[in-house]
Amino acid sequence: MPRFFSDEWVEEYMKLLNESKEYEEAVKDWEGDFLFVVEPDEDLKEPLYVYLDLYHGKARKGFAVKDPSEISAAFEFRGKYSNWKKLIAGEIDPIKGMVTGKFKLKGSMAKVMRYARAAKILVEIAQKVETEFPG
Amino acid sequence: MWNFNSPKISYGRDSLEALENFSGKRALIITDEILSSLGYDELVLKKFERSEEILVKPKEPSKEEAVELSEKIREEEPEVLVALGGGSVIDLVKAARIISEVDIEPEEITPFTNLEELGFKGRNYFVAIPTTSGTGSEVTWAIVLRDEREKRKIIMANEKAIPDLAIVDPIFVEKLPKKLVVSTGFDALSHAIEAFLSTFSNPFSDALSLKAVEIIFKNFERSYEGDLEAREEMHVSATIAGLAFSNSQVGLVHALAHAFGAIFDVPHGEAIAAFLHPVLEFYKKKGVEKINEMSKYVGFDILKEVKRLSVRFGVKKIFELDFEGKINEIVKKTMEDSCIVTAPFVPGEEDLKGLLGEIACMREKS
Repeated sequence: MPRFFSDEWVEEYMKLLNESKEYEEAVKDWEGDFLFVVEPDEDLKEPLYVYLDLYHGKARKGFAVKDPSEISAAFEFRGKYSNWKKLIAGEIDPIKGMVTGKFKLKGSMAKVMRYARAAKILVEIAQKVETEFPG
Repeated sequence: MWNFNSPKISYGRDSLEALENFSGKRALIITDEILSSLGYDELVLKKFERSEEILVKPKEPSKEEAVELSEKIREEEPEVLVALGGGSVIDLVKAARIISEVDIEPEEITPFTNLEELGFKGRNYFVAIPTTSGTGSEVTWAIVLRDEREKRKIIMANEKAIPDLAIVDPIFVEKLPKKLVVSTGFDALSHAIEAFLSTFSNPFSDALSLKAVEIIFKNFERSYEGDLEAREEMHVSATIAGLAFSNSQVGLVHALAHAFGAIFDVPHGEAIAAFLHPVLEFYKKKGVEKINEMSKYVGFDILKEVKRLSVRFGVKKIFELDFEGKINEIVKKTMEDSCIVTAPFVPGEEDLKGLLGEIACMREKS
């Protein structure tokens, strides 16, 4: 079972994303890469980072990041580890999570608003990856 | 975790007197030319010792107009900002007030934007006074502006857009034209129903939805006939429905109406009225059980009653427009509308093409 935010986890996630017709339809015009950030809390000592390049309905590149200063992504999505676990478990809706400040998004908000449906699909697909959580 | 947001609400006859608490403050009143010609602005202006007035065009506002108004707000530095009008005026002021303090594009006013971090302080006490009974804008976090270049509606929302005080005084709707009674009434009805069906619905919004639906069905036709008591009930119910959807969100009826309305320049309420019944039928076919749940709560068949009112008021006239050639564009804009996310059944492109095709066929048969 791949460890959360490891290269293997990202590889499996990208595979599922690229197989999803629903995802492809929802973001067929999307161009923009993301840096996903897991902030440490009681169960996680060091932050985790994943880079994902989403382009025209496909995830074309993705990997676990060691040094985030080397990454310049159009969007950054970050939240505490405990909230990420709840998100992946389906206990937090991604939109509600952002509205209530559990997750913070940097980048063009206006662009994201036009692809709000995709945010839900991205999370639903992440829920399908069998994941080992650290801590 | 979720929040319930509401401004202070003064309602009922003479609620305009609530403005007297601010009579010594410097006020800026924004209203439209029609309301001014009816003398409604005078009722507000005379409550203040020092006030300025800005008249705007009586139409759905564009983002350019919001930027223009924001500059005037910055120049005037009012202590109290009063939006007197339908949803268009109130939405315009909501957006302008925010960008008068924060240097961002209107589209960047989203539910995820932390305006405080960007420097928003809420310098003006913001009062919204609705003069139609539909949008609920006086109590919501939502803002809709037109993007002329892309021929689409920009759907924005932020907790900081919520007015500080909503004054829901029926005096402003006593002379509301019948056509507006119908379109705004359907808008309020759609808010109440869609809020209940929304995937973000919650006990607070459900209670408000059900009460609003009950009041609307009881008073809609009498309000249309000019019964002033019914007009007052409809006015209050529109605000209740606004509170419901602002805390729960809407769905596909609004997403389609925004797309269709922007492409064909159809007023919001008319597009909402036309799409409400077809979308509810669509949901039912897709197995959305909450429609039955809502019917059980209110004690009548919601779908049948919406259909009856739609026929009674002849609301499907907009489908006489030749829209088949624009179905792909309507579908694209609907899919990009953030309201679609909270629909109880989120359609794909083929679902939407099917629904619009069915609507076109129904028109040919009739």
